[in-house]
Amino acid sequence: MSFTTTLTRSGNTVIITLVGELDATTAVAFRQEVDRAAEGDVETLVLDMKDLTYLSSAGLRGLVFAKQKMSDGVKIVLVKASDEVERTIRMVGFHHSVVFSDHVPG
Amino acid sequence: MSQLKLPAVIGSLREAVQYVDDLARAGGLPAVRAGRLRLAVEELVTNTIVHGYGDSRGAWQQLLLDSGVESDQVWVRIVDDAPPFDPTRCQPPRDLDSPLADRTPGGLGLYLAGQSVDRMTYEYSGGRNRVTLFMNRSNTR
Repeated sequence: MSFTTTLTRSGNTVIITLVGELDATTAVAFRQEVDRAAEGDVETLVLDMKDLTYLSSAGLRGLVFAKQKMSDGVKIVLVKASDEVERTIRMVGFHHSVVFSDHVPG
Repeated sequence: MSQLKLPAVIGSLREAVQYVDDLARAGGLPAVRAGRLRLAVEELVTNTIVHGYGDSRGAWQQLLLDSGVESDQVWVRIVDDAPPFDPTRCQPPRDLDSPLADRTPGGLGLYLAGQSVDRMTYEYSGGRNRVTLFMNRSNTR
């Protein structure tokens, strides 16, 4: 299982690109990237998921961590999540707290 | 399929996932359903390693995966000797509709596992937990 992230910052928007499989063995890498993202003022956190092939509850806990790490008003945008990734997110009710999008806002 | 014994460490997930992928292929599960079975196995195996064996170490310290392809379904069984724990009796998280900012992070994995497979059964016998997951082969969704 491989998983990599890249972080880019543009004003108050942070884009984290997730590539590979986000599970219990790789979730720590995601949390570290969220830590880095939270170092600045963040209004919008964009997670580019077009190459994220798998998401388990460990990754979902990473989303909770991201929301709680940043200010209350931070908007989380999930870009191009696969059907299965989106299904997992909806199954646990997280879709109430994030926005699904087909493109990176900008 | 043959059985697979794994040490109860998180690094064993890779082999467990490979095992389930092979099973899903042997049973001809569509990719979406294969992914769901994988998710359920990953959640249960992780739970056993982190919580089951986490505090009170069992003597065995291993997980056993067993599986079968039948005409109408595939099944995979996870066996461990951690303290008795029945994942089929877990209550769904109470805050599923709460905003993320108010969520407590526990309980999601077992909930996902139960929602992802067609059936899940539990038995405690011979001092071991035995959780079995079933996926019908005829379903496409």
